[in-house]
Amino acid sequence: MEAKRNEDRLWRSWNEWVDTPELKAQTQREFAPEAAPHSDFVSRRQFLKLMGASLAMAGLSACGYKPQGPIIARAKIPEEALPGESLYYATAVTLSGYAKGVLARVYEGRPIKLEGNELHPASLGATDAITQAEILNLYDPDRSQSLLKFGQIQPWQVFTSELTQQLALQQAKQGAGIHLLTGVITSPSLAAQIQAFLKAYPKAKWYQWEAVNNDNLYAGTRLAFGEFLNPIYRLRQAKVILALDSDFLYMGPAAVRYAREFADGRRVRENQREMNRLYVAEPMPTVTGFTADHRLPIHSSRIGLLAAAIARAINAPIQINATGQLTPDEQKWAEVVARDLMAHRGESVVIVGEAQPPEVHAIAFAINAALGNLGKTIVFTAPPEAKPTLCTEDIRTLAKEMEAGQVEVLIMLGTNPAYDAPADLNFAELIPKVPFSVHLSRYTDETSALCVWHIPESHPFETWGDARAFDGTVTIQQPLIFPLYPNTRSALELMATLNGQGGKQPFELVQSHWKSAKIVPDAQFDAFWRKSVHDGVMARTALPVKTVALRTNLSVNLPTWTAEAQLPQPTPTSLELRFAPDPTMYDGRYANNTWLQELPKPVSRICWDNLAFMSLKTARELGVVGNEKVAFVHDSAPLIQIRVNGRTLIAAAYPIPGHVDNAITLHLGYGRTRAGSSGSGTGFNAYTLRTSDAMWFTSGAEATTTGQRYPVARTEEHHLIEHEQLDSLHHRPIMLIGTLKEFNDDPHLTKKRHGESGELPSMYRGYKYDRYKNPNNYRYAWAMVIDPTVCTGCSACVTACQAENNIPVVGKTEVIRQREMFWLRIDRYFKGSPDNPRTYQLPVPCMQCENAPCELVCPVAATVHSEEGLNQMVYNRCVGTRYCSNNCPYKVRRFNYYRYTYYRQPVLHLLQNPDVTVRGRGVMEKCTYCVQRINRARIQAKKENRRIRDGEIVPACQQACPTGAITFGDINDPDSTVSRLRREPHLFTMLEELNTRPRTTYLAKIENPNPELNMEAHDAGSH
Amino acid sequence: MQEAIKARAIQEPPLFEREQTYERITAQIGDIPFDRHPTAWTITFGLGFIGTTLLIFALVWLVLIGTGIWGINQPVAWGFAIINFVWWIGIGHAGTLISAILLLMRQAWRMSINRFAEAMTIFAVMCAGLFPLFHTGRPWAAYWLFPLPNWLALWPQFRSPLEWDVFAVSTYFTVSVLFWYMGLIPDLAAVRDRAKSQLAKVISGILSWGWRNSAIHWMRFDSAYLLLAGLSTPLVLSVHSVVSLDFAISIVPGWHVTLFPPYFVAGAIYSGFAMVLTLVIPFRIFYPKLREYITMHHIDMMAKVMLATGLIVFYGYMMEAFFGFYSANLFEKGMITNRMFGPYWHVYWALIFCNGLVPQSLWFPKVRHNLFWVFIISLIVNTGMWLERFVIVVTSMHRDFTPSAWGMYGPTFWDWATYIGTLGFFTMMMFLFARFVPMLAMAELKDLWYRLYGHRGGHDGHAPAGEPVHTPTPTSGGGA
Amino acid sequence: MAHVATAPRIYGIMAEFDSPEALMEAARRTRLEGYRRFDCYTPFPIHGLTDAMSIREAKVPWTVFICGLIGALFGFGLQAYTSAVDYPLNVGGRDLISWPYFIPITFECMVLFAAFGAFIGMLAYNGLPAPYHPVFNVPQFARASVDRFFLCIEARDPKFDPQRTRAFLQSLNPISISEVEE
Repeated sequence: MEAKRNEDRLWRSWNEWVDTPELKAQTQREFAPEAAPHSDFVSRRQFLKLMGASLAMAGLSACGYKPQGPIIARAKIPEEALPGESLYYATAVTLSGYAKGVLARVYEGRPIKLEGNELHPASLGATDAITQAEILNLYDPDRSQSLLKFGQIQPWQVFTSELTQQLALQQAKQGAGIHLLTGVITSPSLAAQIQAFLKAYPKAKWYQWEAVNNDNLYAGTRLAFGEFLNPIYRLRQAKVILALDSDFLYMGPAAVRYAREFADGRRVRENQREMNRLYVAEPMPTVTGFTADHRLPIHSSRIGLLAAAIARAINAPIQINATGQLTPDEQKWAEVVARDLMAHRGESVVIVGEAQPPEVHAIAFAINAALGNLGKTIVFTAPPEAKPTLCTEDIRTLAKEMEAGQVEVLIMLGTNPAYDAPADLNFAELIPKVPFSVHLSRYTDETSALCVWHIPESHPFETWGDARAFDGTVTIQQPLIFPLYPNTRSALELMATLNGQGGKQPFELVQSHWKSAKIVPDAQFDAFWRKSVHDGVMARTALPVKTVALRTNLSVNLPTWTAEAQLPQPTPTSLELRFAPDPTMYDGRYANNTWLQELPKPVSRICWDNLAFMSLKTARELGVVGNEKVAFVHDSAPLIQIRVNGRTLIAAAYPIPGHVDNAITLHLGYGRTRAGSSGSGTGFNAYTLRTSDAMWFTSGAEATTTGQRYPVARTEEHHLIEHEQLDSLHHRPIMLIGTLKEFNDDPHLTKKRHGESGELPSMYRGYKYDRYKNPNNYRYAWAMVIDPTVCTGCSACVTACQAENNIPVVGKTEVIRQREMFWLRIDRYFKGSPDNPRTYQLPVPCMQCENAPCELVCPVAATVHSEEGLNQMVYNRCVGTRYCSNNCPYKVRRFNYYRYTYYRQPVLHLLQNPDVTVRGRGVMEKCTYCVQRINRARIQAKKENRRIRDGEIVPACQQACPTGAITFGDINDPDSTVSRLRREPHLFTMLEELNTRPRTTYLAKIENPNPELNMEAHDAGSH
Repeated sequence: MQEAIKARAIQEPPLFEREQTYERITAQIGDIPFDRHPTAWTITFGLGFIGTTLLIFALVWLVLIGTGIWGINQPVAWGFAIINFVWWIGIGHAGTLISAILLLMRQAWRMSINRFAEAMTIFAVMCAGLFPLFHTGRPWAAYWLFPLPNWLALWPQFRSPLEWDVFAVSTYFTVSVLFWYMGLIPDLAAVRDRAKSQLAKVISGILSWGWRNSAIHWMRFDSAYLLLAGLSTPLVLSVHSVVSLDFAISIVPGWHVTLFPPYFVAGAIYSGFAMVLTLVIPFRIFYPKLREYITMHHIDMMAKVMLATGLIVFYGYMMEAFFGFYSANLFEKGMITNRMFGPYWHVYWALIFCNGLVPQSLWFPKVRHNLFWVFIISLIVNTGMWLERFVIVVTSMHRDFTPSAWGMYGPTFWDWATYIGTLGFFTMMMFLFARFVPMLAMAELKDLWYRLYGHRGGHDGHAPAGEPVHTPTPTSGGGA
Repeated sequence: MAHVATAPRIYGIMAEFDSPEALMEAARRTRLEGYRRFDCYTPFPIHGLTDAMSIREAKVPWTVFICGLIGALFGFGLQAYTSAVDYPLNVGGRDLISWPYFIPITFECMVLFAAFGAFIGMLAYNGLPAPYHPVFNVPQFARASVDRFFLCIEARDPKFDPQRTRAFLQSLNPISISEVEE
């Protein structure tokens, strides 16, 4: 009832809004297909301002938030939120259909932060960067808010009437003209709706399309086992892991879980001296590759040969007809790895990436089978998708049918094929041919612009839904906020409308589906439902493990796509072109998410762009860089023209250490034209080169320089050619690196390298942080220990920090001017030759020095020390002399050169964390160890009249970290985890000789190299 | 004492280029404010005025938009603002040095340039003061740096060298003004007594506080003046030491140098004298009357001081390099290598050229006596000293301890606008000073004349009043 | 007394000389003659003149010294009090009274106070500003700031007698002698 009234009120204001003529004009200009997002800034600004009016009301209604249907808070007081107290609701964030469980912190009716849900198999309490940023998508001011027909705003009635007409027409021919195009769908209730629709219109067709898909994997399992299967890796049991062109630690629906399991096998402590070993063979460095103990740069097209060599070495039960052979080095690598794998039968695993052809997957399964890993380190289930399919096949058929004009009604849920469909299908030209096309999406994107109808999609946090995780576990998605815009609908609701159930609340749709699913007897259903919603996981929905057997006399040809000729060994004139999902944009769907845009890409440290990555050697051969000693101190990269079978793309070329020679890697997801005000026009559209016959890599590409340059924003000065930089670890005591062998010989690495670390002399008595201020007054001393050994550099912590602490986004130009605001950065250091260097990741928050150099030089005491050892920043006292930043040897302080936190769009105000001051212009800011969380816990503890428990305070970065590399706690309590870590023999302090006495300390980075492989890279580090 | 001075003055080239009488000294100098002013004055003043407007424009924009309009960033959070601050403060020092230290050292040749140099000091410090104020992120809150009791009960943080700056610079400014004004009182009295227009009479009368040249007053005046000199001497040394501590207190390689205080002070005097020469030489041309009192001998002496301090500064550079390599400290070594061969190498070597090599030409009297070359060299030295501050501030910051946080720095239009603006302001103030105030200390010059050629001063007295003596003495030491 | 009132009261009698030497001599003689309340006026400070007038004082130096002392104490006191007593803060783990850091400001305050002592002291002891003074009633006194040297015996002097004093000054053969009207 209350909800109804809200809707009415908004609806009225909405009408008033559209009715004024000049606004109509503006909206039309806004949505006119030719309007470039940046072209009409002024009108856009007014437009947003006015939009603000209705948004503000949406905000109001959000405050008086009444859930539609009984949802269950994950807190003691379920229904009524206490003012000032946050409630946590379990829900899920989906990416190409797959769910990652999260707990959403809802503060007075508005979700403001996502945390991992430890009960959820794909989260285990952690998240990745993309999940952290999902909250920003909810409040994105560019979200579509109204139904559009050919760009004209229309009320729902018009759409529904037109729809019913169309359906009536189709009824006659059993829906032969109806085609459904969706993303990959795991949601059981949505799938049920679709099935119901297909039952009603037997001849209607349902296709699924994801630009980043599992085709190769499924084809591979079909090849090896005769059916579509979903492999799940059990990395905790794996001692030796071989990743072939696979970024399993970062990409994919189970990446967070895999990262955790992988890390658990790697934590080296004085009493835990074992660790797994990771081999990676890949063309372009990935998070996984940079984490590997041994990384082999090799072309995607030749990974198969490598796999074949290994398969032969351990005579896997598979017949491989391969053309072309490996280089001696690669051959040796393969043999060594094979030996290592054989030494760990049943506790090793070979993982192949989505880019590799089915044959390579099949070989890998054969290897795993031969090693007896099946059922141990790798198990199989049925695919969690509602309808497992090969997306490329689907889209191809659909395109054919559209070509043939068989498609009369095209209903697209969420996907954006006009942008990301294979280039050879010319999908964008086909859509207008369809007489009645409907596109449901959160933005009026490239596809919407071509469709007859655009329906604004609601965000999963605004409505009810469900989704499966990588292992099939179902999560019920609860609405966290009243829909910001009255006209948005979820896919589920739209399907219901198609099925004539338009009146039903999404809550009923979802619940009734699960009631009918009969997982538990109806009597227990309510309890079961409550528990499922509350926990964020539904019991007994994980898919059962299948016992599978390799097909007998299995045989494959390698590489299939070059069967006609000798394997084209890539050369400077015929490069291999590799497509990969972008680390932050994925397939382009996050283009308008400024957090993800500005997040330095885990490997390249580039923001706001995708570039044509290549090896230094290739870059020189193409004339991209000269032979200057210091390259790329300037902030631009040369534009090159890439030509591959008739298609061309201009992109900025950028050499990256460890990239394989004679190859170019392009990340998908950029170069969008209608992503929104922030995402449009960034980067280069790799899809224009991506064809359905070579979805992931192709050969015979040529590249020539154009003579122009392109501005590039990156957060690390990138002169990788300067020896000093490459070997900066070698010289500078910034990071301590050792091998497992060294550690086992003598765990006291720190003493060995940095010498005895004792009290350095000072002319001052210094400040004592004793346990007790007075006998009955315990004093905490906060500290953090970071373990780079398990850090993969995935940057989840960075985005988590940004979300928790209201850290503003500054934009590309400001990043170019080195003014990014991240409180926590991840340093990346190379060692060895640029061809294949060792890479080290080191998260650097504020060190919270006890002898803080920054405090000493502040003339107004705007940064001082708390008695618990926190280096506090008093924003409203700061006058902005910036001396503190100059004097910080770790350079972790950030300055508001402009008024960065200034949102014209009121909707973004809903995003701010009320516990953290929003900083104005001209003040310094920095990591506070999430002091707001410390104080929250302190208040709680005071209420319960007890001490704060160890692990009770979890800073945002630690909370998000998939690998548990960050530990925070009280070092005045000798039994706390952090105290124990600080007693580890390989604990080291960054720049210890400066006697800043940091509270943030690190464990040595321990590597586990195989002595059989060449070691000079490692020797380099060890003295 | 007097004999000593006399003796020295006799064998030295003369400090006056022609016969003087007390009356003539007063007339020549005291009348300048009442004379018509050369067009050169109008033009230069005009330029200065334009510069000042530019400055105001730049500052308004800065306060409106934010320090982001400058090129500063992380890691180089200090840029032009601090460079210019140190540069201007340094220039200021020559004035105090000439008026105070040379007075204590009984340097006869200071008499004719001290007032001029002191004025320069005051205006230079004005320019310098602008920068620390406006480089803050929130200039409107900059008053928090002063120990004012407030309802927050918050005080400044006195361990910060920036706080020391506040005290040092404000004290320095105040004392310089007092010193300058005090020296001005008797001369203003003289102007009062000669002034024809009533207005000039009244103004100078008020400003001279009714000074009546009483012997007892002169006695107290002398001791006060001497004491002020005695105070200014350690003050001037302390001020630039404090400024150098802005860097030396930090832990940044390239800043954290114990050598800084003396080396900064020397640099200050160096640039100061360069600036005095840059100003004096044109003024000598604009106001020919001054040539009698600012002789080639003065130019020569100043050039010598410049050479001497220049050598000290150069020694400083060599020491920095030596420490860098000898310290066996990774970061120090990295810093100096980066200075010499890093991305800013050209600035460093330009600095060595300007401050190290060019001044060596001053060893040759021929150069010292060639006004044109002295002028050019003084300009080069000014540039060099600016470059020095650039090298210190930028090349130390942009690559310090953590390589991952390294960066580059480049000025923007607004950086330049502010800098050029202060130059304009400075010029404008100097020319206003020339327009309205006796440029040289008349009383002191008379005193000097009396001490050196007292006897002549004596019988000149018999000459009919007001009529100057026209018997020029041959001027050794080269004419202009 | 009415007729006395009409007659202009005399401040003193002033003699004009053309050289420092002459004035110096005159001052010495005047002193020997027993005059106490007299003053000399010169365009620039002449060293030894006050000795000739046998005047000795060190008020200004003392003032400066005291002021300097107060300044130094104030400077250090301010820092110590604010950072240790009034609002103690843990700044970079340094002691509350980390005196080495307090030296520069202490010094600056000393100089500042002392400088004001010198300036204001000088003016105050000289009784400046003096909007009016009788000596300026003598027309040629305008040259006291240019090139003439004056000696004025004041009427307040017990030994002062219009005729005798004038005669005495005559004997110093000055350029001119004039009465200074009150």
